[in-house]
Amino acid sequence: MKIESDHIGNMLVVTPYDHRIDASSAADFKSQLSNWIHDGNCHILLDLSQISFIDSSGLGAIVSLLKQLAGKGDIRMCNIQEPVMALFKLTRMDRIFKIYQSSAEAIEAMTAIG
Amino acid sequence: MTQKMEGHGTIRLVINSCLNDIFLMGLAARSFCDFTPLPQSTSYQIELCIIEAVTNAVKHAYRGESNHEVEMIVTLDSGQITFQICDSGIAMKPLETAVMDFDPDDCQTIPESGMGLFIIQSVMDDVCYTTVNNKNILTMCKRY
Repeated sequence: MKIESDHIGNMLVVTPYDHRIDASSAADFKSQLSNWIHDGNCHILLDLSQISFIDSSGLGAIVSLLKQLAGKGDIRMCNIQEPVMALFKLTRMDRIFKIYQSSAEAIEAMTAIG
Repeated sequence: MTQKMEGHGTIRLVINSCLNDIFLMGLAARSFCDFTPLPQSTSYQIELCIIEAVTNAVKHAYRGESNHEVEMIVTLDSGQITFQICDSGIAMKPLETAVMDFDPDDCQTIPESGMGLFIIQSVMDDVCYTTVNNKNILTMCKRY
């Protein structure tokens, strides 16, 4: 899976460029992000603008990464497409992750936290 | 704009039990839903259910082994669309009502797996699982 990353302040902005995070790609997605977390990136902004489909395997990978942070950081998300948002609401994950309409809004909020 | 219409019929699709091929079943399922009066948002959720069901067959019934058949039988009938996902692998336990029970303030309680059945039962109107002559069949029905 092609994933781009960019440091903005103390955040790592991560943008997956495949259209799907599913059982065939979730392990690779998780592995790449896990390495970045292991390298000390604690504040992750996941830009899902290119993702049109996530299944429970993809969702499980994101939850696993949040657990890896063990309360020492967070994963926030932005640019979530409507069908993906529907999955987040269905599984109540929208209560777990802070979600922003745009990357600019997320960066502004996360920068304010410092 | 595509006119939504009702039709009747049954089609059988088969893929190899390979994770990379599962999305094809989902795309096919969504296309069939787009033919019904179901809204696009529901078509997407049904695609998700099919992906979950087929993934379950590949990962659990066939333990991730390829070169087995996973079959999807789609039946369009009066006011409902029915999907049957069939495999000849290891049978699941009888279905129970899946729940998503976790504490939003404690991330360690959030499940990482087992969400597929919850999604399927939340989206579909009827879900049942049977094993007949060593063939496991997950039947999912959505009315419109």
